[in-house]
Amino acid sequence: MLKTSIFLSLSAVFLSSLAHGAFKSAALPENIASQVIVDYVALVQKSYGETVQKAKDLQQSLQKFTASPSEITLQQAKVSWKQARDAYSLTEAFRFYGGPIDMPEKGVETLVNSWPVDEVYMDYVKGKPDAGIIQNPKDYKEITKDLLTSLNQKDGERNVSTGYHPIEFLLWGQDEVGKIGGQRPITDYTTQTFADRRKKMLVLLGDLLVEHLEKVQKEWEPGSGYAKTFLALPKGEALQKIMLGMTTLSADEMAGERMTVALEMKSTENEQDCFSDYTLTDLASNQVGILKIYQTEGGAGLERIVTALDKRLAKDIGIQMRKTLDAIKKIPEPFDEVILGKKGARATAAAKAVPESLRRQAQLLAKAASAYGLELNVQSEDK
Amino acid sequence: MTTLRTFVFCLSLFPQVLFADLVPKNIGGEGSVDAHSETAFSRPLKNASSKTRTSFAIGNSLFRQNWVEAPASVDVLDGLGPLFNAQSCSGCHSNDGRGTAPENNQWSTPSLLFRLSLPGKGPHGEPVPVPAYGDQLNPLALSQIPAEGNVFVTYKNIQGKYPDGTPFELTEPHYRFDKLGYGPLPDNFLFSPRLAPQIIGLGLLEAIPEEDLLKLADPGDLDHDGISGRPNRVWDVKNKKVAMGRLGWKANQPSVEQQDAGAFLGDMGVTSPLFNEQNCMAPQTACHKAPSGGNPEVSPTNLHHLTVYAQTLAVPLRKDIPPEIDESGFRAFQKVSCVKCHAGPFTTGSSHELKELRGQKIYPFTDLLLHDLGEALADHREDFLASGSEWRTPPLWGLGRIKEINHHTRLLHDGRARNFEEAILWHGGEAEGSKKQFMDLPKTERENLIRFLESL
Repeated sequence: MLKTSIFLSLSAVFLSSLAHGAFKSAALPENIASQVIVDYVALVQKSYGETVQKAKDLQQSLQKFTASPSEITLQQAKVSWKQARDAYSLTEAFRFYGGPIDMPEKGVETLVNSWPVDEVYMDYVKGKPDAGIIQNPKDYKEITKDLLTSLNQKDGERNVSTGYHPIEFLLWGQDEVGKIGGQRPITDYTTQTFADRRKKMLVLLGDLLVEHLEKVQKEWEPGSGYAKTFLALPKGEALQKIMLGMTTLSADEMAGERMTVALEMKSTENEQDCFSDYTLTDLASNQVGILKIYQTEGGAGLERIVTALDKRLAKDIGIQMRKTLDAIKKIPEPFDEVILGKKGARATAAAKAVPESLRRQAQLLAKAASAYGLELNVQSEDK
Repeated sequence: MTTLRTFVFCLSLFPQVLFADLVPKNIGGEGSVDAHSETAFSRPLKNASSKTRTSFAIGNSLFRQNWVEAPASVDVLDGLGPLFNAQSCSGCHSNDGRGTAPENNQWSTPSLLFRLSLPGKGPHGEPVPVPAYGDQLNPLALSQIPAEGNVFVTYKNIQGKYPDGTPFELTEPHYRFDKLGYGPLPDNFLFSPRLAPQIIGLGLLEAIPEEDLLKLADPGDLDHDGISGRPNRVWDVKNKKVAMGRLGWKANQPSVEQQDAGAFLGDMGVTSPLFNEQNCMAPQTACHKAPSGGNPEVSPTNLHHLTVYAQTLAVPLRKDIPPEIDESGFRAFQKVSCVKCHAGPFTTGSSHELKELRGQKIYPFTDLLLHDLGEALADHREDFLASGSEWRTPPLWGLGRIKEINHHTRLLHDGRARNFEEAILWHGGEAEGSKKQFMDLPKTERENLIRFLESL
């Protein structure tokens, strides 16, 4: 025990001196780095392939549902949405470095994944029975793809009109605390005055989702577009981008926007998948996505590059990542009652452990990166 | 050789302008971030502690949230209006970036607001509000309440030529106040159009020691270089005293907190601990009667989180450009004396309440002082000590990112400049000499200077 702690503190001193430039950065082992990068690109290709496939399944389910609205077709559409979401959540660690998903000018991230949404922008909510684009044929005569795209984030970032979350809202309806998911009645798609416009919007949103994700998939296709550019980058630069995606998702998005805000403000509006109450599954998938980069199945995950530097640190990062995943799984459902403190102190504590663990995993990755002279957007410790 | 000599000469005259080396990548100090695309302005400082990150996350959410009419089911977020310009902070500062300026022959956009006043000064030196309208035009209102009006915008084209014969075109904005909800504006009313600026690095600007800024001031132009520069002195509401103005197009706000609270009230009609009176003028009876979302509508805790958020939005690392262009562009920037106002670097002081902001070497390219920019840019409206033709030197960091963040490149206080070149060409007054020198530069050097600016 004593030996371990001496070793730990020595390696901590060594690494922090590296970060301060007292020592030269460790040289990147080129062969391992190449393998890690090639495997990463393969993982990205596979993941976006599945994401597009699941989005197409969703598109079909939406068409079936709107062609003959019933409880059964609605259920099928909801299942398809969840599967599509599972696939997309696994790809979120591929964001944040200006790659195909969020490339300047050409990126589609805001069209696909904007959140939180102000529901009243699209459709009626409690207390505002006439609201929304759907119920406003006066200003928006015909619902078209161009209209929906142009209205997305117009005059405010919560004014969302495309992507996964508007589809979620149109399927489930407004969130109701204490119930799993919103309770949108089937009559919204049959007898309600604007049923046809609602159906039209849902179908178009499915089409747009597929179109947007296909653009990303195409850029990553082997031998073309961004995949080619990425593989030609200096090894350090490519690795830095990989880790920038993982740490920004951990420390900013998951720990910050998706957990801290909801918990600290006790605000269920800030629960990510509030309409479907699918938030915790999404979070777990995000974390699995990060783990997949670190320990790629049957390949050279990012872990190998850290192992070449410091075996102990490499192991610690893996342990921390699993700890995060376990912590997410320990939060009891439904998450909105945890947010409101209705599930008791233990549930709240379990939820608050997640952002802490996420920040820690980001810090450990930053430690490894800075030893190689690579800078991320977090520091290896709180100073 | 000439370049080098001029540069050395500048340095000896202005020892406070310390641009001896080229500009590094981390112009926002240790907190600079590697950020991309639409979210390039939306990251917390790299060196932010966990505690700061928690506040940042909450502030970020408040910044993006649409405020709603009281009473509403979400109590935290009710209190919009009665009169307002936008429903959320991000409605104007989209992606924490720069607002969209109106195009020719269009109604003004929400992110170009119009300050209003009558000639004279209020008890603390502030502008005098216009009876029935206040100090800002609110084009939106809750249902059942008349809005204040809107402004129709047209641009007149102005043709010009560089000494080398290269032509250019500028567009000069003209405004018509219309749809006025509370009667005609008085004949002697003054107005100032203000485009929502990007909000990165504000905490760092707040943390520059005042004495380092005052060293750059030369109100009487004692060195006869045609450039004066003086601090604005404004009213600090919280501390009930006069303080140096640092933020806003005319440096009329002393702190990030007051800027935020002011925008809550002025732009969204949301009261806060700093400004807890609704902004209804005497004749606006329906405005007075509207239900309140609580007193104050934004709680002290949430105002704190929002302030920390705005203080800790990080400056992105500079973009990579070829070293020879970087050097040539930066030398040209110095040679034509842009650096006399777009100054730096500074080291932030040791007393800011957020430790992440202390002791940071930063390159904001501003002296935060007021300068006379000439008649063409003048709004003829005083704002505390700022005259009708004075503007605060705006920071230049991050300006090259506006295109990818906000999908436009409109610059200056009213967004009239369509790119960096036009922004430079609009400079007059104290900057007239610099502009002329810029125009005299060979074309490649002009282009390199602009590429340098785009890399910031």
